[in-house]
Amino acid sequence: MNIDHARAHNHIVLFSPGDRTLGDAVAGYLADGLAQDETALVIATPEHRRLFERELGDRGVDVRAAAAERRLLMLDAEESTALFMTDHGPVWPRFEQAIDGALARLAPSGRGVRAYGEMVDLLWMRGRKAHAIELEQLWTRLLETRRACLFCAYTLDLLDSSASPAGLDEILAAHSHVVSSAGPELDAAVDDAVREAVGDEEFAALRALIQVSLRPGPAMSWGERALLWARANLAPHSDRIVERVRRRLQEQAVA
Amino acid sequence: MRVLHVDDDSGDRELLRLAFENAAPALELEQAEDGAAALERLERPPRPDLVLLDVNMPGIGGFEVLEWIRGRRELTGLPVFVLSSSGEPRDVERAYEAGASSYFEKGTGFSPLLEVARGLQSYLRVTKVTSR
Repeated sequence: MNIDHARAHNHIVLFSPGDRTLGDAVAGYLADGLAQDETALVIATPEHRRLFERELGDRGVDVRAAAAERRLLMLDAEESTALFMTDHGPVWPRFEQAIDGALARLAPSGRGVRAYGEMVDLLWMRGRKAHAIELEQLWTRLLETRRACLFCAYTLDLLDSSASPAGLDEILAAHSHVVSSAGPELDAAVDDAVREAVGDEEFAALRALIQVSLRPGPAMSWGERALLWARANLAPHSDRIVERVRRRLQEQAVA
Repeated sequence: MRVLHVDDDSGDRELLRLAFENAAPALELEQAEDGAAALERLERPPRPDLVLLDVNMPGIGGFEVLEWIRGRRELTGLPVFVLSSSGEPRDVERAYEAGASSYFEKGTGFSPLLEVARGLQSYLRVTKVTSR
């Protein structure tokens, strides 16, 4: 999976339903940066750090050498969060100090830093959604003045019924770019599912309406936009639409 | 199926009325000329099935109308679609934060309005028929 927009000041998000997609996306992002003489900062859970190390190795990256040369730094998400988080949310001076401290541990690079973080995901999964969004906003503020880009991943996807469309909108609005974990197959699956739910007669007009609707946050594929719109607005049909899309994507993955 | 359209611009109200006449004949369109008239209308039955709301209006603005609607228990679940001349990301984000169901830019000319009218008719058909 190629991560476009990995450039300084950008704030990228991926909704990833599983480790396979996550490992591929993050390792690709990091390996690509290291190959271009950028440095890399990873703030992740122990399981995911091991996953990324394996995936980086598969891509020909000597992880131990990169760490020894201070081109790659991996930190624990839990411990890093504790440096600046309070019961009332993240605190900017402490956050800035913590992240700048981590960046300073990397070897100087004229090419910038690729950061990857899942502290927001930890907070989100624990129900501290407002604090996760606040932390995203602190990252965006930090990125304005650092030569770094940040890639965030949430272990949920647009088909996840535990994530409300409004919650997903909040996450999306906090980022500059979104990485799609599904390709054009999602577009077709959503079209088919909506058509089946509302009938041929209404489908064309409804599709045109969704197409001209505006959303906050970064640009998304047609399938992602239409799915979020359907989840938010087609309540009588949305569960069926989501289920049909999920089934079709699973069938395609097996095939 | 009843749509309440709120817009202070009489020209835009007339264009939308024509669009509904042409592309959404199954919908009954009511129009309010400002935010105050919209609140007054929403205070009394029958409740519209959808509100189509301009946001940039003098007096009680569209965002205030939207927040008022979202604060009323008896209007829970009422779809509010913003139809604005502004496509500014800041306005779009603010509308969603205030509880907009969807957001559309008026665009130029008649055809974007026809598309919205046609789409709203389909939207209300597929959501209201099932829920009744």
